[in-house]
Amino acid sequence: MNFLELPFMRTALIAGLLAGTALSVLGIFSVTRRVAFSGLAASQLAALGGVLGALGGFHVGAGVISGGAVVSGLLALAWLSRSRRTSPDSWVAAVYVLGAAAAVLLLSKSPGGESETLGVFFGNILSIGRLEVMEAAGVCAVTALGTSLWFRRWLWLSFDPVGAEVAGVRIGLWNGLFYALYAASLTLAIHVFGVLLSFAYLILPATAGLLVARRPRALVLFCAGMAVVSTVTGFALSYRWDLPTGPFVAALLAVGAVGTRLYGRISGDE
Amino acid sequence: MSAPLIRFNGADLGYAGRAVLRDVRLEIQRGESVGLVGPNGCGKTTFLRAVLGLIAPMAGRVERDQKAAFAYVPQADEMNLLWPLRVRDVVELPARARRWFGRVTAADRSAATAALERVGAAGWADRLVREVSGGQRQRAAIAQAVAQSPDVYLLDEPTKGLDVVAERDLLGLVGGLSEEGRTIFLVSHSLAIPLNLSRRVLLFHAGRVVSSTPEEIFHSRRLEDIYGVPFGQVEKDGQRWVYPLGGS
Repeated sequence: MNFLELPFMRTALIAGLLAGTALSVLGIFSVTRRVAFSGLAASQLAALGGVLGALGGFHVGAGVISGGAVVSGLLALAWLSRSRRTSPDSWVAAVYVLGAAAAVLLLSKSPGGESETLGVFFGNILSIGRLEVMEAAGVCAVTALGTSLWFRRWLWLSFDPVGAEVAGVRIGLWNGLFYALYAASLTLAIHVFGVLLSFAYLILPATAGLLVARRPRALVLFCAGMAVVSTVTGFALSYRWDLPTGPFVAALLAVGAVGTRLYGRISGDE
Repeated sequence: MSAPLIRFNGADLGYAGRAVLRDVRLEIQRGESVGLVGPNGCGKTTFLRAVLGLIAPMAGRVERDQKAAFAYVPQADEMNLLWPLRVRDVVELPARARRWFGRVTAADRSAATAALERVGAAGWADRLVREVSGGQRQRAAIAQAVAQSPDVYLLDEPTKGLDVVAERDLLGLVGGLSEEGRTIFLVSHSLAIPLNLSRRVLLFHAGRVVSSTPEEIFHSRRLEDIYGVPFGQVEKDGQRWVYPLGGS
């Protein structure tokens, strides 16, 4: 039996393709700004927000709480990282640990207990419905529009922030717009994928793409393509081998990134 | 006489309630070439941020010509080289970033091409900026500024990490911009650069800014007062060098 014959698999695949593609494109900025692990911490905070919302028993409210948790966490990280006596990575780790520990502690008091904890960290992509598909389509559309309109502006802010500011670009406004989009995408992705797969989409396609792409447009196409191929392949193979879909797609993305690095080494590109 | 590009009138400049520079009083006219000299942490960057209007004075006034366009030339090692950008992409980036969908007009393209030719980068414009030398990367940064056609260039340690020939070529470019009447602010730890390139030198020391000229600095003991060690001077073929004496 083909996995696409199952309605829930088709729904999950569509949501996965939409949200995964959006995250993989936004991840380019996360990686090039050298804040990849901030994405992990932000994912964990989105998950914590989702847990808080779920325990409160409301769907839309959970999204708002998740988004708020991501924005507050990123602002807190920006402030904590100003310390000159510590490395910014340490504060990323602190925020991640806080988010993860708080989520587990909260879930320990819920009736679902262990299974819900697994859901937060590893997701359960096959359980999603039409509402999540529509949300994923919305985020994907907004990401596509935002990156089409302002990709070069965000690129300039990442490539030479001082030069951009001197030339009159309002750094706060444009970084704020980017992080709003980033927070919205992560919030949705955590709901659909869990922390592990969201982080994988966010970081691994961009990491592989930077190894091979020689133009910004090629980088975007590579990241989107890698997300699509890994998602479709992961769904098909995990169904055939009866393995959990989310972790399988995440593993494929990781193998793709490491494979790209090996290819670059062997072909003498790096 | 036309209004100055910028006028500092008793300005205290600093951050978070702490003044780094006190009672700054000077005017910079359009077309001046100004070198900024002083030890590390003496307020050169704070002064530049005030020139750009990125910080407000804590006391006094700073009046800027609001119509003047500024361009900052970063040090080559400040560029984020993770991005797969060609030298041409770097030069076109400000124009693309200002337009929706990152489009460039024919005028933007010809400005970029002219800037690349101006800095001698036309031959390697299609190479990735991360794959060219430090000197070439610095030229690309200048070409990016030239393509924006600013009134004022701010160069922060533009020769840092360059070999002597690359440094000579780059300073030749900056000298050319100055001769065209562009206003130049140039920060350098090498004292020879402002002495030979700038018409005016701002000395930063102990929270003060003192305006001087290359001639005055070369023939006076001002550097000795600032750095606390005696300086030697050499003048040959119209070029001047000063260097700290003593040490092991």
